[in-house]
Amino acid sequence: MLGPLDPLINFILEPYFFSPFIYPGLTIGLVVLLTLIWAERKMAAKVQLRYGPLYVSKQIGGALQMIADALRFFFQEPIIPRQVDKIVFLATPALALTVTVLPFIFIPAAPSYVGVAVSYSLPLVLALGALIPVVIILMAWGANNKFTLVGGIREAFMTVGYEVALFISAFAAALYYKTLDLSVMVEKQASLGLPGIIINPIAGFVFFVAMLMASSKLPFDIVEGEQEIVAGPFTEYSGILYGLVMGASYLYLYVLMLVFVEMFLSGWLPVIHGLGSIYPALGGVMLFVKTYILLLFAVFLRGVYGRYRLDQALSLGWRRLVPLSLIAALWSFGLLIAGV
Amino acid sequence: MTIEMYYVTAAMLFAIGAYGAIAHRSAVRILISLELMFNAELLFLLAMASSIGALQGMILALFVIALTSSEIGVTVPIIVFMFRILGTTDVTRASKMKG
Amino acid sequence: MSPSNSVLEEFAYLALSLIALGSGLVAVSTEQAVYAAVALGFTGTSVAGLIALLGYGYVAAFHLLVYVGATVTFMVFSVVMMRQEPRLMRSLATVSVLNAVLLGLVFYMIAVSTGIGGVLPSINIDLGRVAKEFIDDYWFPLLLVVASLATIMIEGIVVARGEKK
Repeated sequence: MLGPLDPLINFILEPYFFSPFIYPGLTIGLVVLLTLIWAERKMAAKVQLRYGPLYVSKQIGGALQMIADALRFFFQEPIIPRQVDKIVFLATPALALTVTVLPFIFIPAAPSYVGVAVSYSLPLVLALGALIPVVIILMAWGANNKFTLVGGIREAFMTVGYEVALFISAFAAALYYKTLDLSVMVEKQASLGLPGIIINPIAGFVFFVAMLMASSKLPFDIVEGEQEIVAGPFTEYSGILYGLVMGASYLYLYVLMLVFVEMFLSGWLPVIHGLGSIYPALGGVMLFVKTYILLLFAVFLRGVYGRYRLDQALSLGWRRLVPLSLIAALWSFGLLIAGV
Repeated sequence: MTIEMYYVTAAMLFAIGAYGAIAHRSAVRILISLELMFNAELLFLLAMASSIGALQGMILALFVIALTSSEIGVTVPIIVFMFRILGTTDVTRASKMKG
Repeated sequence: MSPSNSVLEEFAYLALSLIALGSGLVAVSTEQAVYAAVALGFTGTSVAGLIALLGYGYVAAFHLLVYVGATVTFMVFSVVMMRQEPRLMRSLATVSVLNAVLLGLVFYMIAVSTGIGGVLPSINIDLGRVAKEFIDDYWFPLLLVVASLATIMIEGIVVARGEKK
């Protein structure tokens, strides 16, 4: 209908481009990131009985703060210290964001709307997400700085701590649905009429806590703890590189939260058919709404909990979360045997 | 897309891993080169299985990957012990049987 | 539906092979152990992509899970043991290159001489069938692998605890 631009518009609207790059992928992810960081600062400020960022646009409560921040990042000069390994220093922020965007290809956004349809999308999403700590440790080593090194080692230890619990709880939930495909899991929740968190609450809880550990959110932001090791692996970054690396961990939280909502909170149900007839991806907009509300809850925890020490976090991961996830797997197994 | 193309890639990757396994002194680097050779061998296995028996090849590949991870779990503590006792990971210094 | 013609497949194969071989070269020739471990991670990822291109998607996902986990462990160890990093043995340089090239040729010859070649058949394996095969025919190896992995985990705990004596 738009003449010569038709093939391009058709290409953009195809699921394998739209899903990873526009919705629920990179573009919507960046919008979520901007509003989420602002909401986190405002909510933490409210808990701590102060106002939060109020310098920009005072009349509407500082709502345009993040746009001002983004503009500032674009115009700020990124300083490259002399002692860093230049190729690694400059390449890893872009690499971290690329690797974070990869799982979006396999996450379904609406009934039968997924970038690449495979019957084992859950292990693929989790495996691609496990590449992110590798890039962060590379970033920490390349910056050639004692603070970043300590931050990198902490990131490696945290990875060892949460991965087992994350995978086993995800597979415990998938065990009950008897499938590894995220779209089929949502359909099973539709046919049962119950969200996954009522079927297997232990797995949901373990996955939620492991998700917080995975994306370095408080109370587990040991890697980038400001008061201790400046900014962990991200110490030497300034300007647009700083904006990129700080956004990567929020983007990973967004990915894992999408998976959580699809496995435990019935994904995109109830499907809104009116929007679905305009464009298939919009029929699953409830997925985005639920994800956003849960993201607000997850960043609200910043004002509530104190930061865990590294050994406390590892002990929590291995002594409490892993046995709990095994109990969740046994629970799913018991439900299957009982014929529920 | 012929199977021989996969053979070429796997053979070159195997050669690179073999070079690393011989030319390095540090035990950790040798282990990394061995992992490269494992990757190449996995490609060989799956490329051959495509035309004979894809199902059996897939099952064998899954077993091989799981056993590779347990083999790393044995080899890395050996390196840790070697570092604790000898103070270095240099394999040319580990040539005596005592100690 | 994505244009799954053979040009796209060949391009994907070329790109993945180049990344695999390039990061393999980085893994064996770099001076620092951490970069070698990260390059191994990249090689593992691109080999997973090649496996998926062959048609074994689930094996590719499994490979990615295992190898990325192993890479992180390697990096921690190579960072922790970073004192006294011995160099490459210069005296063995030509011999090792010659040996590597010959080994690669030998393997290629063995593979080609089995006569298994030609066009790649398209593979589509149902995961349910795989699970059924596992339970029907291969339950004993499965038990052995589970036992060996559990043993490795216990051994790892024992080795890690042994330091506090």
